[in-house]
Amino acid sequence: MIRFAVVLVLLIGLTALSAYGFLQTTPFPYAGLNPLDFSTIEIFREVLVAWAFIGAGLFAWRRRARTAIGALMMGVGAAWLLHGLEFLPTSPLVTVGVWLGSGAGLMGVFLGLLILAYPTGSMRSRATRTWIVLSFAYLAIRLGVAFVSPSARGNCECRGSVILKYDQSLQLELVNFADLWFAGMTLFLVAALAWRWARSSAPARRGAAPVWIAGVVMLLIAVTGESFFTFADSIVDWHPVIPSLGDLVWGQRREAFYRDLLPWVQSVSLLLVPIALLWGLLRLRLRQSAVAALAVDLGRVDRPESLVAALRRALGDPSLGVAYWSRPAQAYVDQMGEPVGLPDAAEERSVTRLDGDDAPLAALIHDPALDEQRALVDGVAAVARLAIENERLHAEVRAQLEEVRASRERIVRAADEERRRVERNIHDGAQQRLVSLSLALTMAQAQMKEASPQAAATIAEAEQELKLAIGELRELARGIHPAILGEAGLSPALEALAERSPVPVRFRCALSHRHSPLVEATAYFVAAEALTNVVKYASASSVELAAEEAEGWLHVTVADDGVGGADPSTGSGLRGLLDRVAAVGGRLSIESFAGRGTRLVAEIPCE
Amino acid sequence: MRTIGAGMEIGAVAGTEFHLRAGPDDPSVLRWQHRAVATTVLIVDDHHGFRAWARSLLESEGYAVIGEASSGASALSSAIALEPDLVLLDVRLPDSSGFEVAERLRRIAAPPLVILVSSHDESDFGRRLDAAAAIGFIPKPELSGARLRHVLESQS
Repeated sequence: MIRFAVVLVLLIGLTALSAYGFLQTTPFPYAGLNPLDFSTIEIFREVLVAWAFIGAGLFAWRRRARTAIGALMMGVGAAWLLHGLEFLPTSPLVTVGVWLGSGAGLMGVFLGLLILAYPTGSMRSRATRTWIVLSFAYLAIRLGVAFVSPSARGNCECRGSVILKYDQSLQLELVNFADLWFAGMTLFLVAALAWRWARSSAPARRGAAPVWIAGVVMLLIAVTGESFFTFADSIVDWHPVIPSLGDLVWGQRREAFYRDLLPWVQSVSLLLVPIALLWGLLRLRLRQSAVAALAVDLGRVDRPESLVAALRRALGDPSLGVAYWSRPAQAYVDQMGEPVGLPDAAEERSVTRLDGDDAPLAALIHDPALDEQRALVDGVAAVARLAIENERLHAEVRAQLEEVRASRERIVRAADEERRRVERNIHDGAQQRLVSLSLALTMAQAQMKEASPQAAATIAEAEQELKLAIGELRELARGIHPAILGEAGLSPALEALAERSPVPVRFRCALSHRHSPLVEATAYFVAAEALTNVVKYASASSVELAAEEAEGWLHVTVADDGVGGADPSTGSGLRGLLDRVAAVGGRLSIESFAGRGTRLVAEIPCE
Repeated sequence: MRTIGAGMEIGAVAGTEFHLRAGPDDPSVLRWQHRAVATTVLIVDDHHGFRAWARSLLESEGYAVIGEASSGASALSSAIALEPDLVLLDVRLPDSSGFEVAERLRRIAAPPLVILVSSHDESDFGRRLDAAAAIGFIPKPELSGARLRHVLESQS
């Protein structure tokens, strides 16, 4: 608090000194340039600009004590006041004024630093360090200017100015060189900001853009503005055709523009930066009121997405995500219970961890720009803590459900694989032996036909019995797992199913490629079981069997025109189908009304 | 019985005259030159038991079984080397399906007639049998000389 008061007193003193300097100006030509004579309103303008910066700086200093932004703002305002020292009647401070107060001066240096350090206040970036080095060189050139300049009034004896040697041509060359140097620094700054802009996230841009844009505009117009206007002017004068145009546009008003209008344009543009900064701070304050709005929002949270949306609104970060800590999994999961990794340092995302009493609670994954608003993030986290804990428990339950579903899928997959193995064993083992036996009996029958017709007849009977047994074994193997499904795919397997059905089947299949064995087996067994039910219970005259794929889902439809009235709760067949489809993350719907047939649709995810 | 190359077994049938000579392109391939008095048959099936019984059955009914193969690849090389009149081709082979082998057999220099056999029945294959490069299908338990003749006659 004492430090704040001391700074305030020093700034007020400097203001008074500067205003006194401005009051001393007279309409004499200064070093061959325009005469400087500050009217009362112009002095008021200069002080207003300086204090706009100082005021914004004090405000930022109090609110964000950790960063250098406030100090830099005050520095810009104070440096602006140094200009007035040039006009003091008698003092070595005149040289300080010429050195640091004229041209872009210390104000330009501080302004560049402010823009580069905004919004974090960190001075450690490579661009900032380069700017500081360039600034030292610039101030050294300006020091040279100060040592060869007369006082603002053009006399060098009476005002205490420290002059090594007054040399008007050397002074003008140095001034031009200093201006050129600073114009180069401005271009460097614009390039650095453009690079930073390209790498920034949307929230970071939103936060910094007003200050960056206002700062660059200020540098271009207010600080190096006169040089740019002179440059534009020289282009106009240089071109053989344009001079007449230039005269037409400017005419006699050129002098008046430099003298009367430019200082106002410069001053007004100067005010843009403190206004932008205050707006940014105010925005932060408004954002903090969003914490209160969040408390209301949370009352309406009914889905995981609503919580995330409410947090995004409160923090103004549309990219914000929430990872919940799952205690059973000992890992972070998303709102659907799927495992999720936290971003590492290389990803340019920030993580705010929320801890419970004995274990982590959740982690907010957000834009690094929010690190500057730690109090806001903490406030939002505190308000949303209960809702986040609630959501964490939901996510944990979802994770467990997902594990159960995955486990069920593994069981179904293993069962399918076992069915395939059994079918292969039957085909390669018993079935082949019986087939060979059948051929042997055929031969034996032929051999015995003449020698013993009676024995041949007995063999023929045995052969018929054997063929029946082979047929039954074939049915059994097919029911366990149809070989055609694995060998040729779902479409031919369903087609064969349709052809074997005793009830006429209208078959429609639009599958362009094979799917995973799990998906194909699920679809096939749903169709097979549904067709079996139609044959057994529906008394249908026809049935439609369709398989098609749309947007990553395989749809299998079995619809009959039978008696209807199928109820999954009464039979194990339909219940089994529901379980089987659910195990692979699919859905099964059954519409069955008495007298109006049954329509069964299985939707199976197939991507 | 002699074996020429992997998976290629060549036998002799009474009443058929055989000459053994090297192949025109590849001297390592021995070819049976025969003056056929019966339809020559190549049996392709990965089950040895079936091949043995099918050979006995068909030979007892006057067919000349000139070779056996146990896979799709050996079926093709045997068919090229032996130039059988007929290939009895199992649908389910360890390295490919009988449908694919039939398709490739159709494109060799002297394409044989192909009859598909399987321990499954016709309904297991749906319309694939109609589109297959084969003149017919016989379920394995129903294989006999008469059934073979019936398919061949219906073809001619």
